[in-house]
Amino acid sequence: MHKEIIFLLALIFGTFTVPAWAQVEVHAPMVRAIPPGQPNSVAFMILKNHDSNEQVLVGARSNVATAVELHNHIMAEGMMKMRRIEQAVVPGHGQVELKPGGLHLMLIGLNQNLEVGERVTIELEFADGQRLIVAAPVRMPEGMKHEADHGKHSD
Amino acid sequence: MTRQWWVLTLLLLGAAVLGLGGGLWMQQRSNQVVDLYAGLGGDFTLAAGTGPVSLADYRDQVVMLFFGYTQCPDVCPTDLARMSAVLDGLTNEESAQVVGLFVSVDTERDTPRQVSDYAAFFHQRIVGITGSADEIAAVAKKYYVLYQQVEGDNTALGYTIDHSASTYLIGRDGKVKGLVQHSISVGEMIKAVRAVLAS
Repeated sequence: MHKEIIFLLALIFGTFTVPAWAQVEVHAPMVRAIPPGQPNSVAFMILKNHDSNEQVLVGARSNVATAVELHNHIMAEGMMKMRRIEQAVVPGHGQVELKPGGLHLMLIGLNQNLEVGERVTIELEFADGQRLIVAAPVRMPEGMKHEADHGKHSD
Repeated sequence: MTRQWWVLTLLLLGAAVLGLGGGLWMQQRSNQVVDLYAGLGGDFTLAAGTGPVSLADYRDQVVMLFFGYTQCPDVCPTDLARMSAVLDGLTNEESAQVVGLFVSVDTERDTPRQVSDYAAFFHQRIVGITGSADEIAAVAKKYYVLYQQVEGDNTALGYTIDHSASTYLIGRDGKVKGLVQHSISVGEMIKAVRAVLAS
């Protein structure tokens, strides 16, 4: 479809834009701010499926990273293990949450520093060919204050 | 009369034995509680960007100790962000007595400078340190920390490192007082840190 127009709409209207035909809706997308120079970051969001059929997220890409991959965490043998997974199934009329410590999108090989407040465009690809453009704002890690250098004078 | 004295003596003796036994039993029990983390932890010296850092440098402070690596995609930022929120959630008086230590087990990629800069991004009271492979292995052994490098076969990431994700709470005497799990909330962790501050 008119990807450029959708992309522009996403830029203009902010957080997310859902094309009229999309069955999956994206809520609360965010990319985690990381220390400058770090090669990778993560994106979190909630995927809501308005269709009765399941929707399967099979891929993603972004202009800020070499690759975007789905990863999951498992706790095994006393260690946290992160592994790439091929797809994430969003059940019919259900949702999947991409969140810290669980399922998440890895932005690998960042080609720029991520500034807090800036929006990162991520394209999601589903098994049925459906594509969603998400404009995810860069946020400080959960629970942290906006300013990274707080506490500087407390030492 | 004599008979009554005997009974009284026996009763007193019995009470003394019971008391002594009970006391010993209680002492043993309380020793067991105190010894919960015996043999776990101990002092170590590793390097920050500014030079050597020892756990003993933080005597009289409470230390939150966590092991990870800077290219850790999600687990370490989650834990360090929580540590940061805990430091901010304490009163100024309390947080002045608490420090975070982030030990990188990625001795191939992380330099002391990188680890220190990385940790400071989350909070100025979190100190990032690392060392040689042997030094890190020795510290990990003391703390029963597990870590293993995993080659990324099907991913654009280089290798990743599986690692323990518990945070050690170390008291003013340098001894481990508690372990908090990766899933703990900021509020629960503040409570746990306050308990160690008060101990």
